[in-house]
Amino acid sequence: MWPTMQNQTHSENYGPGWFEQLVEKTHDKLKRALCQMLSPAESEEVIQESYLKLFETLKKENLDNPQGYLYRSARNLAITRIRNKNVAQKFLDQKTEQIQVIEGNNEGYQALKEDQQHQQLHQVIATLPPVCRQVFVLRKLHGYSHKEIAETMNISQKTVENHIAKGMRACLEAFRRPTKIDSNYKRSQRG
Amino acid sequence: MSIDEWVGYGIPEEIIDEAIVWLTKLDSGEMSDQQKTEFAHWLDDDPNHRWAFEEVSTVWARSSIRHDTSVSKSKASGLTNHKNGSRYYASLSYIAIALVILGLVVNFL
Repeated sequence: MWPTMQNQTHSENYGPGWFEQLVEKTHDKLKRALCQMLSPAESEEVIQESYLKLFETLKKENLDNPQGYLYRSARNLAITRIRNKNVAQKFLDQKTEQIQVIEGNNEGYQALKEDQQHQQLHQVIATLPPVCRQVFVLRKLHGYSHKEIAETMNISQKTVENHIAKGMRACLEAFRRPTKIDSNYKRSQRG
Repeated sequence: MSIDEWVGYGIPEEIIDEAIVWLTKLDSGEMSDQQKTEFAHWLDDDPNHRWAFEEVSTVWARSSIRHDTSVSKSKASGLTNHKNGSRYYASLSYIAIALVILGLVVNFL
């Protein structure tokens, strides 16, 4: 199915047949993961695009982690598809007021978005339970090591890890909060 | 590409939790060689694992908070503030080094 990588510029580091082996090893895993976001047919298209992108990239440069590159490409391609579909759906639905026009002023938009996220982040951290909040702030703001936090607060390092994980989860939710696009997409899929 | 609102999209929540646990272990700077191997296997085992970990790591990196915040003023009381700045950035290096070692730094943004 795939042209051989032999005699290609950067193929010597991977050995003969490695690309086919990579396809064999990763195809079904990618299919399963992508089918959580896209239809099976679209997933297959994204997979093929991703292999092609990897193949083309390897002709130009060496990659430390081709599989990681492949997985990340697939994710980006899938999200781009969903996002484009989402925008197209809004046009069809005449929901033009919901379409964020970012072209031409991308920097300002990004700055505004980051500022909003920063505020959300502070709110989230402020609402963490006191001990969790203190651990998280000591780590993220003051740069104390897990060990130092454990000693200072007289708790185990495992407990420190648990608090940091909890704080991390809360921060993640703050970043995920603007899920308008998400829910609209889901609605359009259902409708 | 900005992944903010797409962070974790379509990824099972339990996998995001696993990614956070791994990130926290990395952040401790005390992972054994065996744990690092386990982590590398975990990353390759399922595209969702890698996606979750990379996206959680991005949020972790962006969730840095600064001294001029209300949070910093009101929290961490009873502890001196002389440790900050370079120390904070130094603390990020555990993860940065681990990611480089594991070959995780890919062009995903």
